[in-house]
Amino acid sequence: MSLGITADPTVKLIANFKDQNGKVSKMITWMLSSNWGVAGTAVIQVIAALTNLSNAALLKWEQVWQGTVTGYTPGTATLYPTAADKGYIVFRSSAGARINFNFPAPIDAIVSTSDTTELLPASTALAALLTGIAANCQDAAGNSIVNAALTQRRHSAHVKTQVPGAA
Amino acid sequence: MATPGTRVTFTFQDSNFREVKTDLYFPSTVVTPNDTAVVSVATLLQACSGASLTRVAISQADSQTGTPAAGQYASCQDKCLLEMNNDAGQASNWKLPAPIGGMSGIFLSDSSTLNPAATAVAAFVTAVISYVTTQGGTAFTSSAIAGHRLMRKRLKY
Repeated sequence: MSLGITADPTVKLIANFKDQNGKVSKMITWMLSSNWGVAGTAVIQVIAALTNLSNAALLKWEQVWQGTVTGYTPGTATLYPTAADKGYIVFRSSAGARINFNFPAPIDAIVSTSDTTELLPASTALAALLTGIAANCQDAAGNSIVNAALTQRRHSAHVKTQVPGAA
Repeated sequence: MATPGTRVTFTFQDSNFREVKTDLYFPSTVVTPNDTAVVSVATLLQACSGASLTRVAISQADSQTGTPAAGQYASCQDKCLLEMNNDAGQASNWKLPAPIGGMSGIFLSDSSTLNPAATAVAAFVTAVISYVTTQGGTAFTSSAIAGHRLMRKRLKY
């Protein structure tokens, strides 16, 4: 299985204003994806224009660019194909920081059969994921990821299943 | 000061159409949602999950230091609705918090109606025409802008 991602044509610019009372208000504008870059000309020009319109301080802004995942069709439901059933992984960065990460609906193949609260780090899919995250990702401060200290499975909530059309 | 990394948000959908999002940080060299590293991790994530990975979003933030100006109504609850027509003929609007009022502000003398001729408003219109689009990518060419003040909640002193 190899996924594809189709990037949207536009990116979102979120301007965060803060007033004298500490209240934060967000204002959203959109621009073409060619204007990606929080320090780029387009963003700085728009931020400057907004700053001159408001008495609140525009302290932070963020750009978000979304894409649609293609190439995967959900298969037959696995054991608990619900988003409330999660796999938890705790990574350590090279600076010693904990990086908590979770993903929904872990498949049967990566869950221990003797203890269903445990994930199997040695299973093919999970081992590949751990390696892939360590190779490609980092902590929020930019430090590399060195290992996965904990893998666990948790239910974050009871799941209510509703049949469409049922009363 | 830009943050050192790019935050990538993976959005999954389960069989009950419930969405769950999870984040990972990538190096700041990741500047598109379909970057090779993002696609690689997305594929590995999907291989571990029974839910369907539907959306991926990258984000970067920047910030500046400063303090809010001591304005006439320096509250984010005081807002100005800014409206412009996009090139598809549809009205787009933005809600600006704590609009500058008073003699040097962006309103007419009634303190409620936007003054299109105000310097700051004209500069905003220029920025919109130059860089801003709708979510679908439709541009703004017309410089016509309208707006009025929205006071969603009375201020207490």
